[in-house]
Amino acid sequence: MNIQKIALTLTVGVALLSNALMADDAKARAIMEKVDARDEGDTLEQDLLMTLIDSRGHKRTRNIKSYTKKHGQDDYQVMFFKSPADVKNTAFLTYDYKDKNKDDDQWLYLPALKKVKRIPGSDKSSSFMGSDFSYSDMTKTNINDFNYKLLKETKVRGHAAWMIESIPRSKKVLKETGYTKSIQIVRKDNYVISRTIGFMRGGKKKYMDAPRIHKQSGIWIVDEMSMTTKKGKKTLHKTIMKFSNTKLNKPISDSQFTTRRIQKGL
Amino acid sequence: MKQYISFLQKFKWLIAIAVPLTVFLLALNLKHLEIDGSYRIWFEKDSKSLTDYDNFRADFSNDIGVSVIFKDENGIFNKKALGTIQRITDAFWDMNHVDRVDSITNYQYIHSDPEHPDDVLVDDFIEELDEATPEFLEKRKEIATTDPIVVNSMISKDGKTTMIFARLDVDDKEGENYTVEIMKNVRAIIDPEANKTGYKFWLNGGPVSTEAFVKIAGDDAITFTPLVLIVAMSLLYLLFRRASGAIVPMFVVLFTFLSVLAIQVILGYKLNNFTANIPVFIVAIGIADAVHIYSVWLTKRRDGLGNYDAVYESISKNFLPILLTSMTTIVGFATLTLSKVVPIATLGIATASGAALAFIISIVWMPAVLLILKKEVKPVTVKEGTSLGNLGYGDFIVRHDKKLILFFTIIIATIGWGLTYIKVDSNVIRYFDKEVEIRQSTEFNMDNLTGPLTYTIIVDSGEKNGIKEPEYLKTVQRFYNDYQAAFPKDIRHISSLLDTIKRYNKIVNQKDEVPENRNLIAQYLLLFTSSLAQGMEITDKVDFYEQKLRISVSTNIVDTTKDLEMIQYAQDWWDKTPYKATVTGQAVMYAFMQKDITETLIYSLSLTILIVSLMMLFIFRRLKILWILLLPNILPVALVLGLMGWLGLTVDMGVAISGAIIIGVAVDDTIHFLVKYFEARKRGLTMAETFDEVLRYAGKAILFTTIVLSGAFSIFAFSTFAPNQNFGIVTAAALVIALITDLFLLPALLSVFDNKKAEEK
Repeated sequence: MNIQKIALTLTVGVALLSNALMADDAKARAIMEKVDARDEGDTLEQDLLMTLIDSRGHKRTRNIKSYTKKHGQDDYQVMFFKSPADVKNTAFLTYDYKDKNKDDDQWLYLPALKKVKRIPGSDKSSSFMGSDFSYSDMTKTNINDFNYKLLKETKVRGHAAWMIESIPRSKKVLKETGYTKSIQIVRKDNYVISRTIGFMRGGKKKYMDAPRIHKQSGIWIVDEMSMTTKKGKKTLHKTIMKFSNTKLNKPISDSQFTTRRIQKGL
Repeated sequence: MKQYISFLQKFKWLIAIAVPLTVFLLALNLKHLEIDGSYRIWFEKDSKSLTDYDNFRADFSNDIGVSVIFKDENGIFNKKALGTIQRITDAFWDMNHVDRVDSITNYQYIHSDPEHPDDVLVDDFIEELDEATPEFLEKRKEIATTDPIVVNSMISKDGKTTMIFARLDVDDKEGENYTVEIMKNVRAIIDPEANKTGYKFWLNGGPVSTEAFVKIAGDDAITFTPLVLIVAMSLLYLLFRRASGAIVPMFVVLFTFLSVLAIQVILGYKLNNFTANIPVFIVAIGIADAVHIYSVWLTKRRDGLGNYDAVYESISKNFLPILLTSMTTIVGFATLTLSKVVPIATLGIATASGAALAFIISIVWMPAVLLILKKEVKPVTVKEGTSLGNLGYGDFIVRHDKKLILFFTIIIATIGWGLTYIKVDSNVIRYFDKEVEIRQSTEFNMDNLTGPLTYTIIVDSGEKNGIKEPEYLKTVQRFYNDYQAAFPKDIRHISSLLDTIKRYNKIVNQKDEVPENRNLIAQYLLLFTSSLAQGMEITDKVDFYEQKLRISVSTNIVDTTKDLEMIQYAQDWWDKTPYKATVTGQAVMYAFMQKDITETLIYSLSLTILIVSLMMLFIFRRLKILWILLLPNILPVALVLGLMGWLGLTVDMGVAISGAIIIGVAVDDTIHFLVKYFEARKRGLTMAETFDEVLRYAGKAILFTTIVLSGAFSIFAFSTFAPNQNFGIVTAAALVIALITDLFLLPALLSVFDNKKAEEK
């Protein structure tokens, strides 16, 4: 390593460090900590209707049954496809580990082959079931990965809210989320993120909106959310997810989240 | 006519000043002049070519992008080359207007791990380059150069040449203003890389081609217009030996093309590679009028006539032939408006109106200026002995008329045979000269990597989700095999979603074939779409409803006829299946343009000939010798095309339009010749005397226009745009042929066939 390289490394390092220290805003962080700490229940069983919409308004739908369970710090999730017919009983099993150094585990059951396949190390920024949501959009982010900044106080659907900007602290996080920057709108009354704008490389933006939420046993549940991928003013594609038959904190056995279980179908 | 000239005399100053002033005011609009280099300019808005192409791009992703190709003689599987690819790939992702970037490093490699056979992995092909060992890289090379998905498309068989492709999300229907920005951004990434690595990066793709078109159109217009004007002016000066002889005709054409260009701008047209040459065309068609007027005026002045009388003589002698020649020229160009190749049609309108305008300016402004000219013209008496009229031209023609006809017949028959070898080429990449970067880039690609042109075949299964039927995919597989086998040399690579499905079946199910089960195919696709990195979706391979599949075929640059054969093969192959296929893509559109160019040439020529025949008949009222009057006009085109056939030169757009110009100018020559011929015959002169007089009054002007025009057009041989080169050479050659036929064949034929008629009477 020559002097120039060392100097460069130092400069970059200092820049990153100061960036990490200075760009963060204590008030914004405090809000995001509350968002992160919000109780989401221990188990959740839901029907998911996923509608994929293209730029010309064409639609395709998928019906999925989803089970999630908190397992210590980690999250377990299993999803069974109910329709379309050609993927019926296809199932995804995911272990989402809190430990940053541990890759998530994911398995897929292919009913046409009657085989379970592991999909290791899959990219978190990759599409969730071919929708506009990515896996990272669907899972909680680690608040230590971002710098937050309170942009302004605003309103969302009549509710007072904060507008908070988050910027990934490392390239790795950027790669995982797929966003160079994002803006969240957090409701003041319940710390639910009602809207986000994700800024992607190449100028695309993803707009998340959660128009319908409800409170159940003291816990806020999202009933509908959409993700719209746009370039400028043009909508490229959009996904709407509608959740129904929500069963909160109903006991679900750990054996529900095994590769053996997903072969049996619903 | 007397009244007209005295009217001009009265208002000469007003006219002489008002015309340039009007032109100047119009020309102020020229600052808004723009050049359009898009592929779209060649096609009619509702043409099948464009609608097929736009439909395909609505169903799938855009196929327009920028490609970067480079070669490392040591193979690209070393850290330097791969690092370069990664850096460029990464930088392109961040570029504005980029939808996705594909390269060998981010190729979504589907594989399994021998230690964990139940794992299915989809990874970037090269990820952590810093940690890569030489063994790893060697292994990667082996995989890449044997993987049919990437070999001969993203990487060469020898592992030395590779391509990075940035797909754009631009909507080119709204114009291509983004081109400049994109090319600037691309260069800002590529140029430093080139300096750093020493690699030669070959750029290609939509914006690169658009940029090249715009640049060449601009260069040609900016270089050649003044050059043609200067050459024409110098030649005129040499011929007339008077400054006014060079300047006045030049101003006539200058005013004309400035007005025509300004009107184009006002009407909202943009220039393109074709219409950028409007000035030169107008020089061609406008100059003859002015030269004829000036030539007769000068002759009369030298004969000792006063200025006013000389102008009067010139206008009255020239008015009819100039009117007639302008009309035939207008007709010749107006026929181009029938062309389905849009720039040719636009050019037709512009030049036809230019011809009309040139006539008006020649007949109004020019005599007004001549009337103002004060400089004395020395009567030339000594000239009598050496003037053209006394060369014994008339005697020579009359004495050798039959020999001349025989001589011409042999020549015509021989050269004419070449017509049967004529080939029409509409392959746009060959329209660029070999020295142009994009042409070299394309050929580098072809020599080192893959077929630079792409046919896109959209195969509609007929129902939603139909692409997941095993029978459908097996048909696609058979098509791959048959197509490749039918054109083993020119089809370099075929790809589609079939490759991915087969790859999954191989990795997950150990079967390198189309799965037998529709549900399995659906499940593979679900797995694949859930495993892809951000931005690497498969929307470019399959439509939203999974009803249509896109097959991309990389082909070599071939003759258009061969292109059409290959396209037809694909179309016919699918016509025999239950599925419906559309063959599209820019390469295909350009190939289909061949027909439009051929039709342009044929329709425009036959219509021009027909109308000119009718006009000749109407003007001269000599049905029996009509063929003689027409022959000198048709021959130049026929002979030049015949020569091209013999020489193996292909007919392109430039040649297609030269037909109209050649006939236009040739007819001008003939009409000037004939008007003077019939006039002299009416006065009872002998055949030999008649020819001498024709030569004296028309011959000089015909000779001069030919020298000036063919000299000026020859300059186009230096263009880097092949249609312009061909246009220049073909037109120049044809005009010389026209001159020779007009001065030798025409009088010889008249001497034989018209003379006998007269004697019989």
